[in-house]
Amino acid sequence: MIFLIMLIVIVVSSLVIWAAHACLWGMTLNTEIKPLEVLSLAVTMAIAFLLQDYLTNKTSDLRSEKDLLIGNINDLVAFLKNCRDTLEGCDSSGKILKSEKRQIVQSLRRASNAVGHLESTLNMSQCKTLSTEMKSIRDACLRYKIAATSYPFPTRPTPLALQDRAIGELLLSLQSLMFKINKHH
Amino acid sequence: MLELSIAKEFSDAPGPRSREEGDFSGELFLETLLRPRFEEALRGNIKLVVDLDGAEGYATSFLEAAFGGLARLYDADTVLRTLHLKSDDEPHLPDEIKKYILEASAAHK
Repeated sequence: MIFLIMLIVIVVSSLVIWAAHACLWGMTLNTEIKPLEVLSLAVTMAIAFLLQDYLTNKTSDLRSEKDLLIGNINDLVAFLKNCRDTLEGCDSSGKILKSEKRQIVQSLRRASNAVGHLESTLNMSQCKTLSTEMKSIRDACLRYKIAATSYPFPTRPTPLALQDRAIGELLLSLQSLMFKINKHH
Repeated sequence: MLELSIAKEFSDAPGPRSREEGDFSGELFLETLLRPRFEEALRGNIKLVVDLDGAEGYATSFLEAAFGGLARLYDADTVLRTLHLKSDDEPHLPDEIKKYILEASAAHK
């Protein structure tokens, strides 16, 4: 679209210069070169070029940082979903095997570390104003761990309704942060 | 300074809340290792460093029974002043345990 507009501007400018050169519709072409005007044009073009280059780089850097942060959130969601799926399987069978218990506590540890990693990355990025959101996410993550691994875990699974509510709240906070990161300027 | 490594001295797969529920429970850890070592640290007026690294992971039930249990025997201030929790595997775990200590102490009062 930008290239099309540039092409139209160049074609229209060329037609106006040609028309002035041919003295059409009362137009004339003054071929006298004024050094100050040439200098002013050069400075304007240089500023426009530098500004465009700066803004392009800045936008590109911000997009890369946003993609990295969104990737971190997706990793965290994957650990949580892995834990939820294992717990759902345990709820169906009514018991927790040693291997399932290990998988659950390890997924929760990875999730906790992923929250810490996300927080550190967010603080280093251009979206660091959003790091105030991290406290509620960490609290929601702990509430999910408590809902999933309190008594009677690991002897029997904890009530699935409690787990669903806690993980729903946590996933909502994470999705909200993801949207805010994506919209951040 | 006294040290206590859960993975090396107790189990690398910490279990449930109470003895009746299974092996390597939080209650067993509290009675056999944490409380005696904590009292020794109190008597010597020194810190007890609890190393949480090396275990496969900790369930809330285990942590609450062990550290919350200690806060029900002593007050939270004494527990927090004497214990130093160390975890490189999960850096936020000490903060989580401090919450269990404070909540257990508040509920016990």
